[in-house]
Formats: sequence, structure tokens, C-alpha cells
Amino acid sequence: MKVISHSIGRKTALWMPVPNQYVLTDPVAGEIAQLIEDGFEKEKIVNLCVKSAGYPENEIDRLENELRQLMREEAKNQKQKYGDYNMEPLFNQMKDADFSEKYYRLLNQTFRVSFTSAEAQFAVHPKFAHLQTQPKESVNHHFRVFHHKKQFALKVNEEWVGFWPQEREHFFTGMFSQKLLEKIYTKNGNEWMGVFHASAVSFENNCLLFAGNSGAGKSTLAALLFSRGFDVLADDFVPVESKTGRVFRFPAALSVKKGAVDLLGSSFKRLKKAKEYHLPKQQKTVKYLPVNHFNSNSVNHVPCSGLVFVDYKPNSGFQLEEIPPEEAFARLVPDSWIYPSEENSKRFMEWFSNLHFFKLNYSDNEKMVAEIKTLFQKTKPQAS
Amino acid sequence: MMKKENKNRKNQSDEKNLTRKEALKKVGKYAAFTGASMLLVLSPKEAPAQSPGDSPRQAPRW
Repeated sequence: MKVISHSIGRKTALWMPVPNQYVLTDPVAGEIAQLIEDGFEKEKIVNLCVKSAGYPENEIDRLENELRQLMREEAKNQKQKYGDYNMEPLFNQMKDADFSEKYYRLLNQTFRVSFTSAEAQFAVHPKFAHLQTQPKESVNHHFRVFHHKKQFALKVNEEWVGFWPQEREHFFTGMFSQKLLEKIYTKNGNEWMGVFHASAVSFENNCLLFAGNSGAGKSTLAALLFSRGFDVLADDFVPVESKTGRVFRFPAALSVKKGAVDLLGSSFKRLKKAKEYHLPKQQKTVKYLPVNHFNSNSVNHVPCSGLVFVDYKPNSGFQLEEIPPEEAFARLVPDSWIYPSEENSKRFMEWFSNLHFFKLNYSDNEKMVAEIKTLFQKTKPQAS
Repeated sequence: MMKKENKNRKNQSDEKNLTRKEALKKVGKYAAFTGASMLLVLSPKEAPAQSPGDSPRQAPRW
């Protein structure tokens, strides 16, 4: 695999296959990286850059050294792709006494999910409880979720997918969702551009991704928009298809923090009665709001036109401003899973280049809903 | 035959060299405005993930 470069705003982004990193830099560094890859000697590179581009020699010398080092870097501490250790012997010893078994219906397919303990069930079930269906004899897929000796494990259709220690539970739940996604749409892992940590909201066949740190108010914003007629395609786990760049529906429930329950309560009466879950790690309490279903009318993939970084700030009113692509790139990439291949990294950077980028601070919900509606109309998807 | 192949390779290498020179000329226009170039290394997540701690570990409060 080779280094891929693409212009992102006034910068150049490079994708380095080993160890799967993106580097945001000036265009000259992008050119140097290409020259290194084409097998040019250092002296020749320095000479070319100084003569052709007029850069200072010591600057090119430094950049060349740093880039060569990055490009040579071996995958340090690289972990096994799907899970950390081979814990197969430990889980194979377990007998077939499952704690519970649930059936879920997703896009005309029935999933039987067996949980070996209460912990295993609590890690997965609450987000999908609204998709539960009656037990059926004929199922399309069988998932088994294990939790044993502070380890999670996942088996899909009798094959081990991976093993995760408890502190890396978010990678286990992420992989559960990924496998569910692959089965729902019958698309393999390499057919997905990536999974983004955002809320995907669509309106009139146009999708905007609302990203931001945990607690920034993404899910609350998505729920508010849903209550005003927008469609929520996905929350927290937003899959984008590689070939088309379309955002796909993923029907996990929104997690609403205690503070937002009162705010959303008037729009969602059922939220007040919903079960409350305690997240000990973050010392917070949440409720799950199922706004996202597959039904005969649902549009299940939509082109994406923009990325909005959200920050809910009390008394901030409403501010929406455009931000440079390079800033958006630097914020998005570390929070995303992007399928690591030459073809896909190229597609990802092309897809990204066609988006609009904004920063949103808000506390005025009514104004936010009205302005976001205008934003949907202003931003037009480039691809369909 | 060997000579021809070598010649082809040389031509390809010259072409690449020329394209790179042109590309460098293009990027050269930034040289006057930019200070030291930085390399901002961004590592995507190693696997799909959900928000850390976003799933309940304990029994819900019924």
C-alpha cells in the first residue's frame, strides 16, 4: 500500500498505511512524501524543492527527515484488529447456560442474540430494546455475547469475532454494532468508508452530521430535530458506505442524559416513563429514546453534505459559523474509524472535500431548529 | 531489448521528475507566506467504537 495525498483546504492530508495515520501538513510536505515514496534520494529531494519551490534548504531538510521517519515507522504496539487477545480457550470452556436470549427484527431479518450474563445483556440490549420481537424458530443470524472474568467476547453465527477486556468495552459494543450493520445491509467491513462519532440527521434527502465531544449535546439536538419532523438516521455510531459516501440508517436508540430529559420531556411523553440506566464509569444516568426504526417508508441511506461541530453552552444563544476544512479534518479523524485501505482512504478524503463545515454553539433551542432547517436547504449534497 | 526497457524506465522517471517539478512550482507559491511546516499526525480509531462508557454496566434502577 502506498501513501495517499489529498488537498484539504489550504493543507494537504497524507494517509500513511503503516501504522494507519493521517498527517495534515503544508502542500510542500505532501510533495516531499510523494518524492520519498517514488524512491528519490534525500539530496535530490532537497535540491528539487529548493530550486523549484524556493523553500529554505534547512526547512526542506527537516521536513524530509521527519516524513521519512514517519513513513518508516513500523506499527508500534499494533493490536490485533478485532479485539486484543486470543481468549478463545477461556470462552470455549463456558457451557451453554445462557442468562437470556432476545430476538430483534431489523430490515426484514431476525437476529437471535444470546447473552451469557446480566452484564453482557446490559452492555448491548438497552440500545436495541425497541427492536425486540417475539422468539422465532427461523432466524437469519445468531449473535452470542459473552462476559466472563472481566472480558467481553462476541461470536457471530458460531464464529469468534473478538475478545475485549472490560475497560475497552466501547470497542466491543462498537464491533457488535459493526457486525449488526454488516448483516443488516449484507455488506462486508471493507465496503464501509468508516464509522463516525456523530448524530446523523436528514431532511429532504440531505444529511448533516453533528459531531462534538461527549456531552456536547449531539443526541439532545438530534432528538429535538426529530421532534420537529427531521429524520435521525443514526446516533453515536454513524456508518458511511465507501462506494457512495452515503450515510446509512443504524437504528440504535439515542442515549439521553438526565439533564436533557426535562427539556425533551414535553416532546417525548414516553421519555418520562422510560427506564433509567446508571453509567458508573461516567457517573451519569441516561434514558434511551428510540426514534429510529426501519419501516416500509423509511429512506435508509442519504447523501451527506456537511459536518457541524456542536457545543451546547448555557446562555450562548445561537452562533453558527463556517470553519476551515483543515480544522474540521483535524477534529473528525481522531474520533472516527476509517477502513484502512488505499482505495478507501482516497475515497474518504474525496468525500470529506465535498462537505461543508460549521461550528455551532447554542442554548436557544427554537432558534437552533429554525436555523438548522435553513442550513439543510443551503447545503446541497455533491453526490447521490 | 534490455536497452529499450532501460530507456523506457528512464523516460518514465524523467516524466515523474518533470511532474514533480511542476507540482513543486505550484506549491512554491505558498513558500513566501508560510512559516515552518508542521506535521499534524492524526490517528483514526483502530476499530469501530461507541462512546466510551455509554452502555450501562450495572443493573438499571427499576
